[in-house]
Amino acid sequence: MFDVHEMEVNFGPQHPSTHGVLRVILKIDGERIVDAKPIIGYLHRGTEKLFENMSYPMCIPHTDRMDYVASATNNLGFVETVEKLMGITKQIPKRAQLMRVMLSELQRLSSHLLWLATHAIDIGAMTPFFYCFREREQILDLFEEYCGARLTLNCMRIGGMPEDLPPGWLDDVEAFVDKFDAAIDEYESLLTNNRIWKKRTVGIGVISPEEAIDWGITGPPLRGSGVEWDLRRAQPYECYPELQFEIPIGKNGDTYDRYLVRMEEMRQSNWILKQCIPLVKATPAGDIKAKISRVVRPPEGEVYHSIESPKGELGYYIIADGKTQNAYRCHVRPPSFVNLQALPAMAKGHLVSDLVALIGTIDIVLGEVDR
Amino acid sequence: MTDVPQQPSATAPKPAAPAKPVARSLDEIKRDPLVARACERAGDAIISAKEFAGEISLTVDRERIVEVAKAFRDDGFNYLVDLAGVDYSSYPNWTGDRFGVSYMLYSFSKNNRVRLKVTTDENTPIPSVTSVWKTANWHERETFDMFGIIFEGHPNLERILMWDGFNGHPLRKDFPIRGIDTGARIYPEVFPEGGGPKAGSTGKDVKDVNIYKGDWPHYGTWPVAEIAARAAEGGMPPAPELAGVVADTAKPTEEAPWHDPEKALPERMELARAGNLKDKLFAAMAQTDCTACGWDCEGYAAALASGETTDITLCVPGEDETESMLKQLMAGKA
Repeated sequence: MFDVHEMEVNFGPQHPSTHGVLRVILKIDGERIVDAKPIIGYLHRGTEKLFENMSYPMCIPHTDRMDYVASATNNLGFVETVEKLMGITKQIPKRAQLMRVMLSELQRLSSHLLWLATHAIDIGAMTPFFYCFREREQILDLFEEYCGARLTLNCMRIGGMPEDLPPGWLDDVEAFVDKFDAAIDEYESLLTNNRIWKKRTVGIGVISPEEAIDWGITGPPLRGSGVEWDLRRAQPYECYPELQFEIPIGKNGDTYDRYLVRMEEMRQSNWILKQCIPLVKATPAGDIKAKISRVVRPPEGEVYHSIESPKGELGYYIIADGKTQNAYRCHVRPPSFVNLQALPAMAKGHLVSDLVALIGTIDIVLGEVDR
Repeated sequence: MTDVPQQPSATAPKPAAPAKPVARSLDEIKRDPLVARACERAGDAIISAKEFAGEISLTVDRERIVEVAKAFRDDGFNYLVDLAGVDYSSYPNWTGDRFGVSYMLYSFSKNNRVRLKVTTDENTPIPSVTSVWKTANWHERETFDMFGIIFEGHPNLERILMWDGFNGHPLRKDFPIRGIDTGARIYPEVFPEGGGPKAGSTGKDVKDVNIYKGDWPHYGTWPVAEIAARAAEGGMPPAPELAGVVADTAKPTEEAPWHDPEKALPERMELARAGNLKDKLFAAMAQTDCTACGWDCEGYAAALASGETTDITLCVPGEDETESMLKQLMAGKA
């Protein structure tokens, strides 16, 4: 009765809701997605090749440019991997550890705020964008106060931190975290019980825990499927064992649950920050660097180390030949790259407009996908 | 999938054990509680083992990697964290195969990691583990793209980060960090033949193709004489940005009194009023002899007049003014 045929449509790479330069070739039957094929690589800059050709400290600014909305966690993953390679993980002073935790939790907040703002705007809710950027701006100001940069922080060094905290910084953070819980309530009042928001997210892109693990999904999408796994708890680094926080998990593994998980993660990050402030104040000022040789030349060996970045498991695999100051091979395991791989499985059978929600809910950053 | 992960014990995270001063032997590592059960099933495929910084690396017989991977997956290592290729060709004192592939595995129930490794050379494929873990798909594609390692049985082994048709594998050690000239031209519709950036170009030609049009004091002056000489030999014409540069040859002569870049277009056309079509076309050019079109001004006019080219859009410094005049002239209206 009706003429039924499939059509191939390009989605991106210049589509605003693809969060960068992601291109998806969609096979659609009317509005329904039959198959989706992500095409990536538009932002490939050969970061891993660069890492092989420069000394370890020189690599740190390049890690900023991978997940450029969460550069502090990229720095953290890299310096920790090199420290593990050199066997100096235990020597990092307490104050430096706390500063690293604070910066990466602030970074998690700012990354999640950017995610919420763009995810909501993709789905059609304009207002949260302004609220989220109001607070994100304050976080970026805190970064600027510490290291002078707002986005590409380059704020960690192998063996410690580059600078001590500027005077008054902790008070500024305290003022921010005191108000931030109320701000999260505000975002939630806009979305959580919003009928349109629920229509667009509940039951969209359901992924079961078994399937999520098979696809290698990590971070909030994995927890949204009900797997209580967070590297900060499972294989803790820095001083996370001393800090209290809970791991929020979802039940249904759909877009709405992943949204709830990230909202709760922001509260938990805020709680961690609150705990950190008195702990930092108790440590001696200026004790921010381990006593290590200025030339970073790790012994021959290979390590894989990963941290919980805002997007999931961010891992570095470094092989050192023991002769040079360069990594012989440095492979990055970007969470976005692996999570994005499951997009076709999640998108099948949904409408084209749901694909926008799905790209948002995976929370990809193409700088990290393509490296 | 048999193992739905339980929450790892929240209170007792296993810290990475410090590197042991005395290395354990292969058999001792195989008996390690972490890998013992998987090694019972497929232990004979494990060639050697290594420990560093509390991490166990097992080198596996290439042909039996799928069997070993299944043994580990069924023993709880159901999460393939990462898969990375390595090119050992410039590793100090390396005697083994050229390439290595490392599989980082994680077990939720044991809350620990194991690394499997296989080695191969340029031509021997590695059996794909996509049938064991779905996530291996893109990882193997990336390794193929970056190293040229073939994975046998992969459902869709094509390039993922580089584009189709790229002729190289960037993470091989013999691939230069400056890139290679792949011959593929970028934006061929914008830049003239021979101009424009090239995929993987060395950067030496960047000066020719930069789209900056004003003065460039910190790069020195444009090598006008060199460009003119090159063009005279029929060499590569310079890019349109050189269009503003007035060559030494751009001086009015008796045959061509209009050949003066200082004169405006109506004045030049007036001077060429009595000439033939070629002269009129010549007068319509910008008179800079910049060679952005591939000729000097006279050559381009002659080429248009003789029908060698019909493209009237090549005069860059003349801009729209020249183009519209050329259009009229070619249509026989002026």
